[in-house]
Amino acid sequence: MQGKRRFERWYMKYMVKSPVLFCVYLGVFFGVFLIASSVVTLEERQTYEAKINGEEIEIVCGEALELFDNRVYFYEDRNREVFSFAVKEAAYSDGVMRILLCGGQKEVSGTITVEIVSGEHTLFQRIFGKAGAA
Amino acid sequence: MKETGNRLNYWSAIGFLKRYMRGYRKHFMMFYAGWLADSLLAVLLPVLFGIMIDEAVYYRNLHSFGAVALVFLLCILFSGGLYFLLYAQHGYLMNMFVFSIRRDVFHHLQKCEAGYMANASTGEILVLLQDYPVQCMHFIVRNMIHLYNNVLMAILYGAYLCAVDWHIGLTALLSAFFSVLINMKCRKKIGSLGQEEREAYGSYAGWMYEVITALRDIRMLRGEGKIERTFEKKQKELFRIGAAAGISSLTAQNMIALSNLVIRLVIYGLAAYMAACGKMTLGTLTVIFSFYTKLSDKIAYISQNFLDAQGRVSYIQRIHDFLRAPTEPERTERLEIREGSISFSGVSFGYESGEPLLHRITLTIPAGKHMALVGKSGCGKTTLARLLVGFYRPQEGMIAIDGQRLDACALDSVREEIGYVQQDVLVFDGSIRQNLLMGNRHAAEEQLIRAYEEAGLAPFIESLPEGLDTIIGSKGMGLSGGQKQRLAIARIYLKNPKILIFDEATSALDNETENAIHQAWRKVLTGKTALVIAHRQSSVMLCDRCIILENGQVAETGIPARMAVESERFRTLFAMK
Amino acid sequence: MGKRMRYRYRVLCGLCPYARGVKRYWVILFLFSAVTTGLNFATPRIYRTFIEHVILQADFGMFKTVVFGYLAVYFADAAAGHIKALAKYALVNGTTYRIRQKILRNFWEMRFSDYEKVSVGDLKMRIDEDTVQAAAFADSQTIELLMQYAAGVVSIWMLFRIHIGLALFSMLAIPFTFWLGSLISRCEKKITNERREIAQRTSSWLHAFVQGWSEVRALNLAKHEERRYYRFLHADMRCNAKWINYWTARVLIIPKLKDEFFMQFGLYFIGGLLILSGSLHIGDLLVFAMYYALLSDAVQTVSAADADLQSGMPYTDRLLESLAGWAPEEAYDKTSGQVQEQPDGKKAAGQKREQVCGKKVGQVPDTSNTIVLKKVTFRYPDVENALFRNLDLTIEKGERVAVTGKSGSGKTTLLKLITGMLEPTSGSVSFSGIDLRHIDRTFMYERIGYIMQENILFHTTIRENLLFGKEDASEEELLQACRKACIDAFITGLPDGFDTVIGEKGIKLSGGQRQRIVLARMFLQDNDVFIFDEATSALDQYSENIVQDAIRSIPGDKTVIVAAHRASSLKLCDRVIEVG
Repeated sequence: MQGKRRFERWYMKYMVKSPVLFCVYLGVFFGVFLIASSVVTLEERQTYEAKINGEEIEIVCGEALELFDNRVYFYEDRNREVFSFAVKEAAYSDGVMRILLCGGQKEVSGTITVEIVSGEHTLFQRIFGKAGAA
Repeated sequence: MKETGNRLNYWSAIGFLKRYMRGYRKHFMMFYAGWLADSLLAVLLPVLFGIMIDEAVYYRNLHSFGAVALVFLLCILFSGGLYFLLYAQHGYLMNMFVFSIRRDVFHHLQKCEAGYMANASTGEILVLLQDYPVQCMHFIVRNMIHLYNNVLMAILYGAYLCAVDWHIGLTALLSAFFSVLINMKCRKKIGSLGQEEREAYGSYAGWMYEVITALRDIRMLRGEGKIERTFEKKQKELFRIGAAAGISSLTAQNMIALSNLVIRLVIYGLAAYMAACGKMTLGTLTVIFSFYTKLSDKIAYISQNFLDAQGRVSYIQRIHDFLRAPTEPERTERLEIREGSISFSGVSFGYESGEPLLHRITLTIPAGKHMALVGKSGCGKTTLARLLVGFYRPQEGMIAIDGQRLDACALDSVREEIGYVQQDVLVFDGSIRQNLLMGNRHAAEEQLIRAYEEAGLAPFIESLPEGLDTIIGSKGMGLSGGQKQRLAIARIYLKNPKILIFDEATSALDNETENAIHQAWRKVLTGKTALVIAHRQSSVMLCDRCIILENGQVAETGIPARMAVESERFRTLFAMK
Repeated sequence: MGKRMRYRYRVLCGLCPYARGVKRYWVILFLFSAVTTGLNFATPRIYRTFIEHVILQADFGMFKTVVFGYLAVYFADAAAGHIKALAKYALVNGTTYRIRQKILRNFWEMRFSDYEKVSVGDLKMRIDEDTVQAAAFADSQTIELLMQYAAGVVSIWMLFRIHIGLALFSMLAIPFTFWLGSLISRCEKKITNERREIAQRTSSWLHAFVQGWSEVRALNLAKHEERRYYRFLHADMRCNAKWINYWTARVLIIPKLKDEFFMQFGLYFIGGLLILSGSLHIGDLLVFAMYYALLSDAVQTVSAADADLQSGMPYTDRLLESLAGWAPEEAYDKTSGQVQEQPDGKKAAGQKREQVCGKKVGQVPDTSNTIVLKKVTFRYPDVENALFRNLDLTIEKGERVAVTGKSGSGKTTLLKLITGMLEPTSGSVSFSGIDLRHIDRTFMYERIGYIMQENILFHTTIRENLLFGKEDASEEELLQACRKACIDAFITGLPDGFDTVIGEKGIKLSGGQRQRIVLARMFLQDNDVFIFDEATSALDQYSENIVQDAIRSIPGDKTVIVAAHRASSLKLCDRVIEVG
């Protein structure tokens, strides 16, 4: 019984009456969240219309595109299937970007949408900068 | 309860409550900060979620998926712990905040004008003390803090939706507009039904308390049937109003749900169109749907909140008005009685505005004399006593004790110096000893014994196995009318004031006991001034002088022995042949 | 769980008889609840169609079907909901009314000596707050519960149909939170009990305090009473502080744990992994989440119903007790301040009553109206000495008897014994040859009119108060009675006359005025035995004489018993009994 009363008093004093624990808790969380969301990096992707022919993708664009990860995604209908392939080589000339894929690909041909990994950004940037989009 | 001038609205209610919040500012801030953090998290989580889905479903990035999932987990765990801290604060605030309001109300109750207390209904006062302060706390938590957080969240959701696609954002805002409109339309009807419900319940509860207190009497009057019929009527009324309020509320909810549904379908359509054009991912879609649902929930909550706020403001209004009700005047001068002479000069008083009960009463009770006050029942004898103790203030004229004006003296000092034995004796729940000590908290044991001996309670107390420690009152032994009167007299003896007022103090006693009390009076009252209101000749004959009140004025004064022979009025009053 | 089901069954049996005539509403409620529960399962299907066809396959044509589906479900649900609400009100109101009526009637059945012992706050709680529990049994504890069980089973089946592994994982959450919830609610129950006790004691004390305000002020007890109030409040606050932790855990943290941790994170995490591995489709996952939401709602509702049952047990027990007829003496344990738990409340209280009352006689055929006390001994329970020992007393019809004695010597007690308000410790009291224990009180009070020292006037008009004496009294009769009681001049002098409201919201009457109205009421009753217990103590001599004339004018064949000690009162009577 005595122990219970003491616990009650301790509880009241530290948990309820003093703002220290509360502020520390909030502070710790915000700190950890900021650190975590700055450490976690996600891909940043740019979307382009392109044509695919076998292993070669042709994108019409104004300037050379930088491939960050040597990796591209492409699809006809994003909700059906997204294909992901490594890049063997990429070259730019006369307003056309040509990308050669590693490994054969036979399922898709014609007009597609290509997403090129153009960089990395932190989770923080993704949430607050781009509202969740890539 | 009459309502005084200023009506409170939402903002002035907050102003009123600020006073009580002041002491707990730190805690309220912590409380608000916690809820704010929780609200922000609530907005953040769906976004994280959407990212998780996209990375997993489309791009099959296990690494990204896992990392974001971890952050998500972190947020959830945090908010769990936050709730504990938050509600610890809530509990603390609820207790302390409500306590400080109750304390104020109770304080005010002690100092309230006697006229107000006599007119007020017990039920209303109880509810003012017990329920309404809790409503004040609810007001702050729900109608302030939660409201502000929800508004903030609604804005953030709306902003996100607009950022994704302005069509969707616009539709969402439209829905908000519609539901607020519908709510406002329904508000009046539901509000007035709610008010009706509260009033019906208040009146029913008061009636029920009365019935429960009077169960025995009702049985003896064979009034069970009558009471049951009234009961049926009141219950049916309560039910009718409750059902009407409930159905109204349900209809309103349904209408809002319909408008929400229609808008939701529109948003679905828009989203589907955008997805078909390849402009939207499933993850974003999930977030949109989730945000939209939450937004409409928030809007509904905010509208409901306004309704509730109105109801609560009316409770706060009651407390506010009560705290402004007139109190007994605070004065600083202490009444000091050296000899104990009382004088009434031209005192007029009436309870209601209208016919005054007492007309320009002028009389003097010299120090140390015992004055009997007689007259037909209802002529104002008790009123005179009440004026003397400061329960009421004369509308005209002045009362002075030892030359000190009563209207300049602090009332608690007046009541300290004057002992008043009233007609209805209050027996507190507790032992006889505790009841007696009410007269004088610091009395020694011998004084206690002497007091109850003088009051003629000795044989009774000594016959009890536990003596002075016997429990009396509602949970203990019942006392007869005569025993109660003797208890009241013993209390006053313990108090030992210089002026005493006995109001029908021996009416329920038999001749023998009364004689014993009169003997004691001869001893105890020597040197003290006494005002004895009585219907019995025996009490009157004891006194030095006698005053007959008739039609609110002093009709006759004189020495009792002589009046018994010479005064026609006196002889009629006591039916002497 | 079996224990709870048995408890529910017991309560239902206890409450069922009061649902006479409204049972059909229960059936309607049941049917339409089934409809709304069923409709809940339609929504995920429509949503699945939406995701699969409209979003993922860009089949815009299906959108029309989706819209139609949602609207149809909405209208069906709204209509069913409305009918449910109406049925529920009809059912609950009808049953609650009958229950309250029964409890009120049971109040009439209490023993007279118990009326002094009861706490006003307690009785009010019994007839109001406790009966609210009955409403829960109409709906949430019975129909809702059944529906949710059914919904739960169907959901589980749907979940397994989608993906067995995921379903198994999600099953983990349920028993865990269930168990945690019931553990916490058990602790909550103890505290709820304590809170109710404290609330009741506080409100009784407050009630007495507010009523006795003038004495408190005259004795300058303000500070002392304030300290007492604070002590009550502190006790309540301590209790509250403990309770809120349990409540937070049960109502907020556990659902949060379940919703966000399991349902969102856990489910989507594992679901996501499954999608990545290709064994689950995103559309399935979304629908899975919806069915899981239904399941967890069902579990939540069932768990909440159980928790409510637990925490409502003190109220429900008391309700059953009140319905069976209970006496405060047995139930209230003064030492611990706790209501003793009756193993089977119904039987115990009922039995006790049988013992005391036995067979009751309705009409007393014999009009001899003789009151006979035979070898009556009486002792108050706390007091050592007996007030009366082997008392033999006979009062014949038409006698005028005065009872005198020192105050406190037992005059009122004797009168209470004569009227059956108190029972002799040994010996018997009989009226017209029948032992009082066997006479129905209502008929006794037809014959006997009793004015006590403290009389209650109701907070209604003077006329209403007087009509309690005789319901169909004419104006002339009312006036006549008031004339006898010497109060007619006063009443007719009031602006509203007989329609003046007295009491808390009306005019204040002096002690003497109250007594005279009570006397007038008594004169209206056509009793055979009139008992006056200090009925004229607050009157002046002049008024008393008028009243005594009225008493004298009571017809000779009626018995009059007067307890007083004024010489003038004694003159009325032929016979004097001295007590003490």
